[in-house]
Amino acid sequence: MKGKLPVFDFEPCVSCSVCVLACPFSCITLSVNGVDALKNLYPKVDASGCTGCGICEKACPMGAIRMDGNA
Amino acid sequence: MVSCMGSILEVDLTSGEIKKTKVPDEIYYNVLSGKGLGAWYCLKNIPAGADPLGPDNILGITSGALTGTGALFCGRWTVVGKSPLTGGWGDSNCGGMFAPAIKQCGVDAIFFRGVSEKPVYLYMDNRTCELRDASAYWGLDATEAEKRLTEDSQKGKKLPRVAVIGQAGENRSCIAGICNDGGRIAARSGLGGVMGSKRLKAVVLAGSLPIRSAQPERVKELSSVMGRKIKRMLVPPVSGAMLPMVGRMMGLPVSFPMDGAMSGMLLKKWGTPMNQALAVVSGDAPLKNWSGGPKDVPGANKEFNPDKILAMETAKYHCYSCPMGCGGMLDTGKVPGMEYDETHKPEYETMNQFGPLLVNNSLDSIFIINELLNRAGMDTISAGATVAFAIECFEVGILTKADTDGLELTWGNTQAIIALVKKMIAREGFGDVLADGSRIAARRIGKGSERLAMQVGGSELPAHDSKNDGHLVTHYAAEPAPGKHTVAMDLMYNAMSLCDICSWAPPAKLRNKKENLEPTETVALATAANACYTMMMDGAGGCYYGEMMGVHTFKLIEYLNAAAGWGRSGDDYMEIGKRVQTMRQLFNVKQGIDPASVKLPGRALGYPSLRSGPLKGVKAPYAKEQVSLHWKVMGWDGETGVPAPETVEALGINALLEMEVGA
Amino acid sequence: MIRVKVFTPFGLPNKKLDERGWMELPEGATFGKAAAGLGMPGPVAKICMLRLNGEALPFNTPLKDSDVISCVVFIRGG
Repeated sequence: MKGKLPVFDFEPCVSCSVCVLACPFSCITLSVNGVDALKNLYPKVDASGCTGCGICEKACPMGAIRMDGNA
Repeated sequence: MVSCMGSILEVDLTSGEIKKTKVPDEIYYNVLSGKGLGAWYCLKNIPAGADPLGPDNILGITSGALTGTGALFCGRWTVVGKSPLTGGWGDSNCGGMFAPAIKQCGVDAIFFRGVSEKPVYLYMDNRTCELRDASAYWGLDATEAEKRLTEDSQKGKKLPRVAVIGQAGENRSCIAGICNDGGRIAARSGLGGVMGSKRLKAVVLAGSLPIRSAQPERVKELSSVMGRKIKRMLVPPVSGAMLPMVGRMMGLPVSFPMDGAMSGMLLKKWGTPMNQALAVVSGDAPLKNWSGGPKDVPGANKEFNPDKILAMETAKYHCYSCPMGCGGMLDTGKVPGMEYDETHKPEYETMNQFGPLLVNNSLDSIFIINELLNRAGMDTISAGATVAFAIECFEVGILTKADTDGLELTWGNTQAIIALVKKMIAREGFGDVLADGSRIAARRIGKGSERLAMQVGGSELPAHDSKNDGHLVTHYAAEPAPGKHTVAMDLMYNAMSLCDICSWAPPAKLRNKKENLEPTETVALATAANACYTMMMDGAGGCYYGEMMGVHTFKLIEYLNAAAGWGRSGDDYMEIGKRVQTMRQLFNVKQGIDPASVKLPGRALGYPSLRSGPLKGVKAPYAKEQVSLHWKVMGWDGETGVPAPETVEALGINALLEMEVGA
Repeated sequence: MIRVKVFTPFGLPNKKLDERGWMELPEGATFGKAAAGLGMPGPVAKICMLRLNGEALPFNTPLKDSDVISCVVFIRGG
């Protein structure tokens, strides 16, 4: 049974890609543009690949991920 | 060490044997990981007299002690081995996304020895580790090869991460590097040529093993505070056109302590290209093969206005675990003559080495050359300096069009420069003469051309004038991998506040820059402390820009203690730095390098001095004495640069070298 | 007492700082009090673009031990 999806809070997020590399299924990409004026990219999850394991939430150094999203 | 994997991979490319071996914990305790682990392994295992391009050389690919723990600014991987460029210790450092992938495969480093009969690549994931046929990828540029290897190797969900050589490495160029992420490159020391000599095309890693730390919540706390600070840091409203004015202020002969965290502002907005607009007028940038002043490069400030690059940026690029994001991707679809629609934002080094160093006033050509060299996997610092050498040889009549395949190698001849770069990549015609750097080229050309090669110990000088930053007079020559600006400099020392973590590091003070060109104990203690601290950063997997943030923002000691579960002092960690530096120097001695023979060329010391600009008349007359004092602070012989036996013993190096890796 | 690290404009020496650039203040001292003590009352501090831990915080912000007070200065990189 799938768990919850990660929800990314862009406010504390520093676009560091730690979640991208932590994900065992490589279903997070840094692909959201247009969030800030500097054109930093922010994370997005591919829901079809996500198992809800929560490794990304644990790995995030900024506390910017919560496993709260609905699949 | 909790935050390390405790093992390395040893690959014999001749026999095909692959072993995963445990590293005694005492090694990590004494040298950390990354460059330190590499220094220990290479010093122990590369025999004296090894041919850098032969089977006895070892190529090491290492990750850092903090990589993957949640520490920010810790996504650097370091390549180590014997350099074909210098004949001594070689290392280069790179960002992108590759560093954590090493540890996610369960090892801290991978060491390759031998030579494969046929082109191969190493593939590794959680369960598999094998050498695979790379003949389908041999001949492809690094970016194309990476793309194809990623597609062909992804069997599970985890996206493989790839380190790969391009044509330059395959051609065993002594200025070739190793690439990843479509344009990041571990460029210096010619270690890409070593990889090519082993017929090793790539390392493809698709592991997902966890990386631990002793106190993960504390690591996160440190990251959270620093990340927030950097995120909230705003650039005052300065346009790129105003930077030359700021550069003029920086050209004043004052050196003073500053909060390194401020370096984030300009880098967040523009990345390193902002330095080009500052450096031409401040004296930082060497111009016209180190012979010119700002008047020799008219129009450079306007042409290299970083706002032009910003306007082409489609997105920022952050290396793994970096909160700042000095990189970027550029849309180059409208650049005339550009074959590719996209390139990684060129670094300042690339811009100056192919721009004002060659009196080349074409920003468009920089994009073209940047992508050519990123794909070929060739070091832009060395390549640019070698082209500068060739141009000056042509200008003074040492070379003629008969030598240069008809190329008119004059200052600022953009088309000739681009054509020459392509020839160097392909080792075609005159390009073959230059493809191994300026020292070897000068030997091939003869006719007294060596005086025009701006290199030290074989390694081309980067885009920072040692007369402007006097600590570089020491570091360019004294650093075991010579000619590097990333070990230390006065600017960095001013920004870091090392005195607050190291009892013997002198506090930076307001002073005349000329004091850095004098052989004083204060300067020597600062240069030694900075170099030792950088070794720690490189052992942790840390980035130069994280280091420059200073100890109050980037809390390396606290990070290491939290990740490892240690309670060590700053002085204790600085001893690790000293140990690693000493091991690297011992490597040079073992390989027959005479440290006292590694000397800067005259122009780098003001002989002759520049006739105009902020460095007009500036000389560095005490280079030998500065290096000697630096060596003494390191506990090495002041005349020969050889580490003293009592220093080697006190640092426990002999005992470490007796330790073996185990099954 | 608390100690804060100070980077003065252009590293100019200041009698309130020890050799390594640290300033001692009573517990509860504010950013503004520190700035004034350094000879940089409000308006001067604003001109110097004085920052607390890298941020333009209000001058009534209470200081903590090991806080960093600095001026905006452009540092280049390479």
